Amino acid sequence: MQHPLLEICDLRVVFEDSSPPVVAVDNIRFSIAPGESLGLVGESGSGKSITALSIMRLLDFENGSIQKSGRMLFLESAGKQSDLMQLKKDEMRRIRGKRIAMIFQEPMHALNPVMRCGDQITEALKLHKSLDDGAAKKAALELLQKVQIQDVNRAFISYPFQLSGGQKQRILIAIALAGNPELLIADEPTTALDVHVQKAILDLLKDLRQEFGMSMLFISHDLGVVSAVCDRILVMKNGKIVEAGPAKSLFEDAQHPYTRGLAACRPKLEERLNRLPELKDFLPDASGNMPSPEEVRSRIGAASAWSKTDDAPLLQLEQGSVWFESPRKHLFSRKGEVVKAVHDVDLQVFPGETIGLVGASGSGKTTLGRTLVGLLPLNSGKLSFRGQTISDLDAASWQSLRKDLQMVFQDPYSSLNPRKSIGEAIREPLQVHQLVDGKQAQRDRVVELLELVGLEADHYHRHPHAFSGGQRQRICIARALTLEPDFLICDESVSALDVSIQAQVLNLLKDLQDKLHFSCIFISHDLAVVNFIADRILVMDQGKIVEQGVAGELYKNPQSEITRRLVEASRL
Amino acid sequence: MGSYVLRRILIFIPVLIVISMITFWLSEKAPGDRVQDRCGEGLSRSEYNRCARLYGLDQASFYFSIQPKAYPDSLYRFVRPNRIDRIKSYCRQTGDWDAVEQWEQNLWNFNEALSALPDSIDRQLGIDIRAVYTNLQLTRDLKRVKQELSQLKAYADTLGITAFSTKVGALTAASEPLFSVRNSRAMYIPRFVWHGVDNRYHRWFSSFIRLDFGVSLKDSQPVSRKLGHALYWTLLLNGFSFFLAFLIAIPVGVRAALKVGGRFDRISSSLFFMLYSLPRFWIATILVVFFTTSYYGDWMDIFASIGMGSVPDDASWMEAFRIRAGHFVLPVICQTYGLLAYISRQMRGGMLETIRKDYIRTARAKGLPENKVIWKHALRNALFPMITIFGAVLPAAIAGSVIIEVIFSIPGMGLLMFEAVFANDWPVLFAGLMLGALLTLLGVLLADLMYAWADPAVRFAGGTKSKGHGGN
Repeated sequence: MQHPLLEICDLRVVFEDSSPPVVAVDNIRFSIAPGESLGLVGESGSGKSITALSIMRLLDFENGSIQKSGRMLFLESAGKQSDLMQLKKDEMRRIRGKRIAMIFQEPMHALNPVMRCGDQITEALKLHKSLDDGAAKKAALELLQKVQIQDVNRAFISYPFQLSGGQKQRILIAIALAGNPELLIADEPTTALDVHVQKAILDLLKDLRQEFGMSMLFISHDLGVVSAVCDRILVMKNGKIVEAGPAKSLFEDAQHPYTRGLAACRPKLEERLNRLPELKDFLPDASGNMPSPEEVRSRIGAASAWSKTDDAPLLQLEQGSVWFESPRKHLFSRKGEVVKAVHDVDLQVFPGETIGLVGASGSGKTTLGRTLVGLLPLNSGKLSFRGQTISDLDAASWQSLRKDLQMVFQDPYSSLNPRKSIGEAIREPLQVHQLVDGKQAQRDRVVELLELVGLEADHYHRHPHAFSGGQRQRICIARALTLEPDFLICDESVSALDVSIQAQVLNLLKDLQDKLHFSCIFISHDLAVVNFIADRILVMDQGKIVEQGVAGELYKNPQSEITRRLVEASRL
Repeated sequence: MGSYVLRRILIFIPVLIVISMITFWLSEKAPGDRVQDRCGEGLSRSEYNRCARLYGLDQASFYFSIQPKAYPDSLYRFVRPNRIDRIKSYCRQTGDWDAVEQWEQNLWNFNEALSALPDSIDRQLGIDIRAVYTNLQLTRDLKRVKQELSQLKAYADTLGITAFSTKVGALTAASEPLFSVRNSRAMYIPRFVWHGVDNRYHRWFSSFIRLDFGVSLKDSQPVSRKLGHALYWTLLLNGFSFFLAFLIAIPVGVRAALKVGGRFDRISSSLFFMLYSLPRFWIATILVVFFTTSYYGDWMDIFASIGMGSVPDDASWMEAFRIRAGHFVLPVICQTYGLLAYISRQMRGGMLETIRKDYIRTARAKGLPENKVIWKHALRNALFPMITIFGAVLPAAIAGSVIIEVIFSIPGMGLLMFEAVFANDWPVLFAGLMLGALLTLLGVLLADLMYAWADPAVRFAGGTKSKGHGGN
């Protein structure tokens, strides 16, 4: 019988330090054939990353007591399997990096900041292939070419901070390829990247896998991404594998409600539903029948298209520009270089509508968003709110306006004060603006808000660390809505979330908007997300609005290059 | 980068000027007679004045002064602290400078009347009369002045020398306005008086920037040479001590971080913290007592107890090393042991933080052996807090340790400054403090530059750290 490259039998990982002990991986069993590309899908906390780290035996370096059991049989040479679990440290080191390599989720932090990228690649080459300096450099440059970095020589001598996220991920892939591994484990390699970069990296991985004849274990929370690169997919939930199957059939005809949910919850350009399907929509009904994706879709219904209103615009920006000055170059130079982050932008937001603002990183969309709520001053142009000019107001007048203009930020982890209970965090704006009198009344209002965003009243006294990313973003939304703003800016508010959680938060935002009728600007790099949530879409590039259109229409006939790229990226 | 360094160095100028003013002001406020500090005690009046003029001590102390309206413009001309104090006091009480001036002049010149007294007078009476004169000079109480004057008059009557009685009469007459005038409001009206560039601060500071630090008042040696010697020994001692401290503490901190709560971690931290909590003066004294005498057995007389030893000119370098080492070991131990806990703790913390970083996981996933992961990848990143510590201890290395240098009689900065304070050796003090300030500023700059050098993100962004902005 032909042995698989890697065979996992009854792998179980328990973190014993937490009480009660957490079973992160619960008796899973799967195998990867030589040359096969296997996908592992699941939400955060489902145990997929722990599985990958177990295979690499990188869990050995974690503190705390971790109980591991089961077998991980790796095909060392034809007919000879060895159990990775039982290998000694230095035996494992001959496999790690050389035969099984891994790339990680956060390319931003995964490279040593004080070492040149080239040295980080040659280090691996010297280790695995015993090359001398010159040969290693040559091999590293070849690898850089293979991972399709534009200026190979520049990348070789660059420090990580000089490269973009996508480029860093390419460097990491080059490092992983240095030992000619038979198995490449890719743990959410594109999650932290912009969608159009994501597509490029996925294409690269696909090509390299073929070229090197590697097997790949691809881990992601996004079923769409996984099915784009994998032959076979495992779906993981709470440490268990709940479904497995070939990529195509799994995506179209999943048996487990969880898998169906994962497959359906990602917004699609072609289909604009009223709400996004969530995992809970696929739970079997009382008679045990599981709704099919079509049933769910028809139950939800299509979203209505945007229609022009005659109302006066709530917020209007005319010829708005914002520029940043870089630091002075020389001691006696007058001024640094001026970078126009926002360049002559005209924008109107009507009451109750949502505007989607899309663009790549650095296109100026965040700057524009901050300017609209007065967090950054306009350098030229006019900003008016309810017909009244507000761009020339002083700080004190802004203070009173602030309650009508609120913002939800990208990172739900760092935008909540870890020392404050979430109830107090939500109550604070009420106190500052004295909208509700009396502590008890304020608390009642906070509880009301918590329930509005789908949390519970007894969460009031908990601190942020007790919540998951999705819950935290709900808290941030509740905090932004405390003051019943007329205008809300969501800056990449769902980008850091798993697709399934993203669907829940997007639905929540939509429900809240139906209920509270605020206007919204939704900033994202993902056209599909914006296409779902927004009524109108503005595409931004290099500080300018290059294209605009109605959601559900814009993608059909993109006029500008950047829009075309965004459309392509969301199709994966 | 170059312009950044230049900008930082230009900032030194105002900082040093302000420091020089504070130092100078403190020396002004310190008790004592500057003329006596310079030329010794027991000077005659003319010697005193000559000395004052020679060293510019009869000039104003600063470019300007802000003082009560009741005070005279050029109070500084009276030089003697006692006189100035007396004049101020009477001005405060009467608010009338003219009256005070008249009295002061008469009182001052009365000295001549005293010296004109013939030797033949009754000895006790002579002593009594001089005592009255001294009292008149020392008192600040106008009632007492009145009493003393009547006493003096009584003595003059007893003496019966007409010329002296006339002088006493004149003195009494000059005192009259003091008792009648009351203009205390003048005390509360401030007045700005401009003294011009003929002032002592200007004189001192301008020679200072010409690198002329003057001579020590104690032994008339050039201050620059004294400071040079002291700085040499201090830097040698502290440089060696700190180097040793970092050399020991960094590996210990790293090892402790690798197994937090392990045996090595527990033992090393408790040992270092125990050392940390032992006072240095005590340890130094104990070491001197036990290891520099043969009192507890001949074999314990290992090290020299005092100074840095003297090396004969014809000694080989081995011989020289042996002599110096004998003097160095104990002070180095004292300077080092207290730092160990602090440095190793910081290193442990930095390492713990670094080791959790994603790039360490990347390095391990590469298959690197663990010691390479730690010493090549983690260490450089974990060393950043060390630079901060280095910047913090550098000024201490320059200032020297008074305790250690006094106990071991090491002729370093600490001991030099310590002795200068007690000897009122102002030129040494000024120059020492200014040098300390300058070197401290340079030390902080050096630490910042090391930071920039160690962090490529700073090095390549032209001196200012570029923050990743963009938010998406």
